Amino acid sequence: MISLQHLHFAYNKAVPILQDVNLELSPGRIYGLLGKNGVGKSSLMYNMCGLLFPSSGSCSVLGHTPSRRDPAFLQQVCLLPEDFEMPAMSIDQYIRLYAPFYPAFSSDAFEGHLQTFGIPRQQSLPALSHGQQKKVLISFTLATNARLILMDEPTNGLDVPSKRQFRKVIAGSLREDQSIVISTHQVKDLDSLIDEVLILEDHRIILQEAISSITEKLSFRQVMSLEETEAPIYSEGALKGYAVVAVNRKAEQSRMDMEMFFNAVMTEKEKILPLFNR
Amino acid sequence: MEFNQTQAIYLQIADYVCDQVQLQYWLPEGKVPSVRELAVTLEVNPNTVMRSYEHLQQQGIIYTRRGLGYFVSEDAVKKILAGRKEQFLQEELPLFFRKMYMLGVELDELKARYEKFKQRQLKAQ
Amino acid sequence: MNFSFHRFILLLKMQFAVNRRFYLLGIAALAGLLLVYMFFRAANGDFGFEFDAQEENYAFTMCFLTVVFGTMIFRQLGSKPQRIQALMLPVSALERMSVAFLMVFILFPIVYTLVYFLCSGLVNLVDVHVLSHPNEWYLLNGEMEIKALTILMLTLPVVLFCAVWFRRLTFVKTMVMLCVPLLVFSFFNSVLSKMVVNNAAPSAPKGVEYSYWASTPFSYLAVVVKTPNVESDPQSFNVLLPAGQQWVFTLFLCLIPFLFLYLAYLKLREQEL
Repeated sequence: MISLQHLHFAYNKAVPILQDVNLELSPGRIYGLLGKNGVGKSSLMYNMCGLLFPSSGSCSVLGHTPSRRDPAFLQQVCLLPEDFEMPAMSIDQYIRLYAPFYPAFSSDAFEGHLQTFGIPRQQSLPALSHGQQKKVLISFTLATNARLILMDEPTNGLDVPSKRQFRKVIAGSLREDQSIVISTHQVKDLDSLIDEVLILEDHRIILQEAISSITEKLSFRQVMSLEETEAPIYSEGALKGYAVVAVNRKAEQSRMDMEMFFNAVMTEKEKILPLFNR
Repeated sequence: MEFNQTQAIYLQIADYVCDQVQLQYWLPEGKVPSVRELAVTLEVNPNTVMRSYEHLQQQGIIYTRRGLGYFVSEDAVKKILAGRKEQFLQEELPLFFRKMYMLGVELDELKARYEKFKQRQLKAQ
Repeated sequence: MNFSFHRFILLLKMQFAVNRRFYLLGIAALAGLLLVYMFFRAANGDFGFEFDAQEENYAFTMCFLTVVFGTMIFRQLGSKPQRIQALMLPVSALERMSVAFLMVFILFPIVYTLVYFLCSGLVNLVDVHVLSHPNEWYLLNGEMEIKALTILMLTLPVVLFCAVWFRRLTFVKTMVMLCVPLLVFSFFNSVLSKMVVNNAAPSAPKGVEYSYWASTPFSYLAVVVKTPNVESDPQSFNVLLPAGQQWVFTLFLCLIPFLFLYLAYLKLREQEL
């Protein structure tokens, strides 16, 4: 459904942002795009939705070429940017103006999401705080029922209860023909939502793997001392002993700790990446 | 529901479902919440809930009716009980024995205490 | 080319809704300024606010303000967050361009004309009945509005192009863009014409001097011819293009604005973040 092949991108030729990115995304899944600050997560998303044009390579999204920015394509893609400005009008008016551009827009879903977020429908946008405005925008983005939803740091600027509400809203709105890509460095907020992890590093996607297959190959454990287990790949000191990532030899069903996995990949690339080479 | 850090989420969800059935909140032959409903309540990916339901279906605790969703099996409680007993004997008892052994506690010492505990439980009911 | 009338209307509605406050305040401020200025002219001029002054003011402010308005038509492309939202909106470049065209070429001139005549009508009433200056009310019945509006319409495509091209300081850069080519063009025109005349000079009869006088591209070249020993003033000659060929160049000239409109469309289509 979404396929990037040998995609290169740079703002200027001396500083490459993305080099030889290959990516295949399928519908009905939530992807977590992880990477350090400034590694090009946003640029990758912008390339997928046609805001930036690849300097070489192919990019095909839902059968369209994003850089053409065909309205038929843009109706199927919705981006939640990290920074945004809302126009000075009421929520009602906002919906009346913007929703008709999206043929699959569902008012019921929008109302539902607003309700989950606890935002009164009759508000005017400038009267809302920035976090609340973001929630309106998240609700709108999901209600467009676009087949590709890109969210750039969606939980930035949301308080702790809102992050819960955000998880509820996402869990309730994923459709079978829809892919959601969430870029984040606040992994903890979202790790129960994500189906598949994408890690962007050194200008390319170094890992794309479903959580279930990560836990098949690696086990995540808490141990009192490091001698207790066979040599782990990566460990972090925790309050009670250590949290370790080790090769999963006994088919354990452990819960993946996404933050630890990310740290493990960042520090022990050579040991972890070969496990997932297909 | 708070997930713990160690066990895979889909197994924790399966556990949650078993709890609901065992506590009779969800009755045999009753409908189980849809994948989406449960995903929203637990704030998890619907695909994960799907995986839990498939897991439970394999164990015969729930079953699907075409187009209607998932239902609790008639003998779900029995199966859960058997499964959990098996799990207790296989996984938790060895740990318990290990601790007993380390502390030098004999089985006879526990017998009286266990009787007392049972009495209290019956009274409480 | 991808155009849907439905989306065009939606986009137009959005343009008004998002900028409503700006437009309303703008109109109010304009009317206020115009009234103040016109009353000042009516009360302080020896002959009040004359017909010719009304006409000149109209032509000048109309051109100036439409250019200012034109440079602001793609304002939302100027800041990054708004730019993302604008570019992600499911509309085609042609629809966006059409809305801009309608706003800049048609709606703004009409609205401004109405505001101007409302103000000048009010002032004219006072001028005639209170201040007793027998001035006629100017209602596009002068001599220069056709010329002024034509020049405006020929300039606006360039303005629209600049509005897409420049993200910051759009107005200043647009003015430079409008002035520089004119200066360069007129400079080259006179240099080229002089070269032509100088080239022809050796073939002149003995003692006769040709010198360059004036020229308009694609139209005529005026040459001054000075004959020695003749006690008359130097004569000037206009070399004209034959009338049958003039239209080719006129057509060529008329296509330039369309070229800029097309360039603006292309530029709009390939907007990146």
